[in-house]
Amino acid sequence: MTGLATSLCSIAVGGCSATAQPVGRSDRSGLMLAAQVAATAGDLAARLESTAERHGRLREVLRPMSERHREHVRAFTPAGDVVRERAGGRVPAAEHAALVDLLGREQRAAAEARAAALRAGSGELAGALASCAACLAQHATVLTAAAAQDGVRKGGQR
Amino acid sequence: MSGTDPTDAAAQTALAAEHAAIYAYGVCGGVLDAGTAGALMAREAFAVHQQRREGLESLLRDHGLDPVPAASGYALPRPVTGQTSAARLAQGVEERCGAVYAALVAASSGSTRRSAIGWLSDAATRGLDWGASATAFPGLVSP
Repeated sequence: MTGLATSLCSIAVGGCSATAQPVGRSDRSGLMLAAQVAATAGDLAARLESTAERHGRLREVLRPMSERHREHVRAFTPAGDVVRERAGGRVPAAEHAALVDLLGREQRAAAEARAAALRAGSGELAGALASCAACLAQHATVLTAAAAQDGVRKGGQR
Repeated sequence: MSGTDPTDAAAQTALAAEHAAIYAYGVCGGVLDAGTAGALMAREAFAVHQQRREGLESLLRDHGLDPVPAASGYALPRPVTGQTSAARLAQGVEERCGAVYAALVAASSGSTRRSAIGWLSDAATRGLDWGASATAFPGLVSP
């Protein structure tokens, strides 16, 4: 998805690279919206990784999500900038609670991305932010299913 | 018909996709066994796309335009004979709709953009329900 990252960086959030067009540089609000979404994506990637580390059985489900968040970070971060990631505290000891915790974070991030898409002045940035929000909605669906499966499995063990 | 306004043009494209989606879900509903999860999903999706079709037609009429009509028939990418092929068709429908919704987000503002943002998320998750894989940027194509 490097091509997409280049495209978004130069077109949607111009000003983020040495070759950016002046019109892009003037889109300060667009840059801020993209940076906010990138920061949240970085935090989510870190959180997913720390959760996968604590709950190894969830790794297969969580790793692809983390990779997609990294794609969001690359797409929405101006070239040369570094996104500081925060995993956001202790991961719950119970798998189900950890999944529910992630679900809440993904849902909040999706709402944030949708709001950013609505506010974006550039249509191209709006489309990219809405697409990012759609990806986060997919994550919420996957986590909901994983949490339900976990609940069923636990119920079967009783 | 479509006018020169980018929002109207994107809305016409989305409307054409809704017509095709409604047709496709009708085909799916015809081959899926009544009462199964797949049949229920197809019926729900059929209704959702009908609602969007009506919303887009209303928007275009409000803008003084003639909404693009449904085609007299649609060529399916492959025969739909059961659960597997119906699910594949539904995935393709939602993928195609996701792309036109993303374009509508980019071309619009205000309430139309708000609707398109929600539709894009819905298409992405509905595609998952039909067995598609999650992607980092649903509706967008890497150049």
